[in-house]
Amino acid sequence: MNKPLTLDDVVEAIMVEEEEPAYDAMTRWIARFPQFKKELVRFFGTWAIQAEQLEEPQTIDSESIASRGVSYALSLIDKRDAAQSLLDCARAARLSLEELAARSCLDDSILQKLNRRLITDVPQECIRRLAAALGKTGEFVIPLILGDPALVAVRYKAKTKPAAKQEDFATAVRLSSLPGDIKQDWLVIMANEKSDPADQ
Amino acid sequence: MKAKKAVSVPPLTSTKLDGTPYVRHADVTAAIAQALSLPQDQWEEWATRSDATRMPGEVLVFLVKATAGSDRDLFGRLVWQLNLRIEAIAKRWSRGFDPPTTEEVLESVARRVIDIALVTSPTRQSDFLEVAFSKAVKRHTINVVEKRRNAPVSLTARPHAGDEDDEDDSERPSKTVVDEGPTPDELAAILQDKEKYAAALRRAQGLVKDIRHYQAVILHYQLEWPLSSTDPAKPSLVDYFGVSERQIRNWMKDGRAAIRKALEDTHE
Repeated sequence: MNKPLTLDDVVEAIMVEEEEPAYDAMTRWIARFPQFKKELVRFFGTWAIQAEQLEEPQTIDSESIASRGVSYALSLIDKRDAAQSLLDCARAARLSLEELAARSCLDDSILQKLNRRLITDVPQECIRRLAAALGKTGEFVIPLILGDPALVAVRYKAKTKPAAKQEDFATAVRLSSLPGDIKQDWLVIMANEKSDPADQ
Repeated sequence: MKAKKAVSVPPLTSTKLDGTPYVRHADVTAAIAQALSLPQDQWEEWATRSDATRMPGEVLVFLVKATAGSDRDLFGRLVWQLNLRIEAIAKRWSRGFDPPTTEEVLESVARRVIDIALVTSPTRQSDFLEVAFSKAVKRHTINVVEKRRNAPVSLTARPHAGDEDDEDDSERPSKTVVDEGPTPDELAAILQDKEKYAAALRRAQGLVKDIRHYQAVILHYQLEWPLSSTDPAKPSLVDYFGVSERQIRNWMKDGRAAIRKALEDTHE
């Protein structure tokens, strides 16, 4: 679903429909979107001036600009990944909650709890499946689902913040809506990992 | 290039102002499908080509998004190519500044495009990059340029002064030459034939006290913007520059005089 109309949306529509920054075109768009008159005047005026600007030979250090652009993009990705939750990552990977659940053999309730880091003793197989579904590594997934619980952003009447209640993976599986055979598979996986930790 | 297998391309999710969905051009969709069916190590080579088979910018944006967070090395190399594409387009729409300002503009445009391309949830703007890459970069460049309208220009003959109308400046063309032409028709003809008068017009940009004086002449005589208007539906130079009509008239006097002087100089 699209958000409410913004100046950016209008300017993009202008770029689609107008080949030249003609004065008549400007007045047409201002008539359609008078709330953006000031911005559209400045946009069309600058476009018109640039369209008439003569070409000048200039020495630009393209390599430096491109290099800084790469650094910027990498830092953006790092920041984005660091700030993400499990479900943010799924959205970024264009995976719905249902798709992530299906690919990792988990259900909605377990994913929501993992997203808030409310589950302890998460088996390596679960981490592996989530990583594969997201197209990430296990090292990337671990901080998203393990660590201090993430509290829901609501106001509390108590003077102190309530502690989030954590549960172990086996309990989360038992309380989930997963079919019985998949619940059993998880319990077997957990038992195997515990009996042979070297194989993890 | 050897393809692995046919793949489907995820559709865009945003809509245009009229409610119709944004759809990639057929050749872009076909190129994305082709790229996805190729080994990833062939993507960069395809992006670096300079002939007609070069990867479209829209496809490059798609692949940058696809590799973000999964293959850091390939992502970095594709972003490098994306930056070069952005710069090529942005340079055309950011003329008239001195080299440091031009570089600042180019970098700013590149960052803005990268910001939009790498959003986690698709937006109209991010989808538009995959529909019309060149137009998207062009509009972001115009936005960035618009914010630097008062930045130093490359051809200015003297430093910028303030906006005073009657500053004593005996070397300014408008102060030394009586305002006797070119006529509006002559000006329009000169401005329409930029190839022929390129040298004089470049010189004129350097002769004006402030580049906006030249720009006002362009907007009025070539693009038919009125100086001022009482009709809110008819924007004017007063609206664009945010100064009085009297000031605009003084600016245009300086602009016309600079063009006249430049024409005389280039004929000598």
